Amino acid sequence: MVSRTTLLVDRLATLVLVALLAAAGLAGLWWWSGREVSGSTLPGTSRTMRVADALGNTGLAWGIAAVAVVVALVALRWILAHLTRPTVSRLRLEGSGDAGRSEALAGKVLAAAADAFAATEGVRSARGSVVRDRGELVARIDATIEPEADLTHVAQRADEVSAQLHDVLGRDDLRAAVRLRVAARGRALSRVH
Amino acid sequence: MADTATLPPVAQERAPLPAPEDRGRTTIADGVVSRVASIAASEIEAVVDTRKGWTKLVRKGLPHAEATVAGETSSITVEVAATWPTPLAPLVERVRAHVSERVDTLVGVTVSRVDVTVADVVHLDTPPRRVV
Repeated sequence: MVSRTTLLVDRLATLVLVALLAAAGLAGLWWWSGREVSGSTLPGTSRTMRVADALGNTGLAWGIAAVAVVVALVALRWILAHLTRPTVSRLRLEGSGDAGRSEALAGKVLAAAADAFAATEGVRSARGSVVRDRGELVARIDATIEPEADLTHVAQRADEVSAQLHDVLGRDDLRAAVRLRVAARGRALSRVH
Repeated sequence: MADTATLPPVAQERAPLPAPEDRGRTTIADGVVSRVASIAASEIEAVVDTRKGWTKLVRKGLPHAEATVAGETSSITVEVAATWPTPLAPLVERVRAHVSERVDTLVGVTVSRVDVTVADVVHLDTPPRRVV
């Protein structure tokens, strides 16, 4: 999951890249056709002497190296922006003010909600976290259910736990999402003799 | 044999005591306020005491309080564990009010601020055991 800013940068970078590729493609077509556009044509041959001279300049080589380092750092930052999870660790509760701050550790609250959901018959395991997804605060519970689980009952319990979570945190701006994954095979049950 | 009738009464021997503030300085350590605040927080319903065994001896676990006393006022930070699904905002308000009142009453230090963090939420119901 990426932040809203990262998504915006991604889209702008894609737009610029598409524009550059389209311009390069059109220039290639123009050069290949040899046609005259607005009274000018592209030369049939290219001279690389000026490029070779420029590369021979030590100062320019260092300049290019510096630009390469900057580009590499930006690329690294861009990759990290896609790897980091915008997990919310603390949630401000109603009642914070001059008398003191009121807050809760989001991970602990969601862990309890996940435990409550995991106690449902047919739910094998569950874990929860609070993330900031495109500007929205989302409490997410990821659960694995048994292949033979009663989906109607599980969905009903998911609604109940989501409502409880809303009451516990008292935050109207928090959205709840429960994601279910069906286990590939049923769990071996303990046998009582 | 001494003539006791000539001795002045005991009350007349002692000079009147000076005002309490002139008799010495009373210092309340931060730890005292922290301890009172921690105990006060544990008295609230729906606050779970996670301190068991040796963690109680070394004062680990929740509730946990840290206080900073400056003169006759103090600022306190309290961390508590709550039971699921207790609404946390009202619970935190109760903890803040009770801690302020107990510290003020028992220690005589005015509490200027109580920061409360719900550092854990405990789901007490254990899932039923599945058997065949």
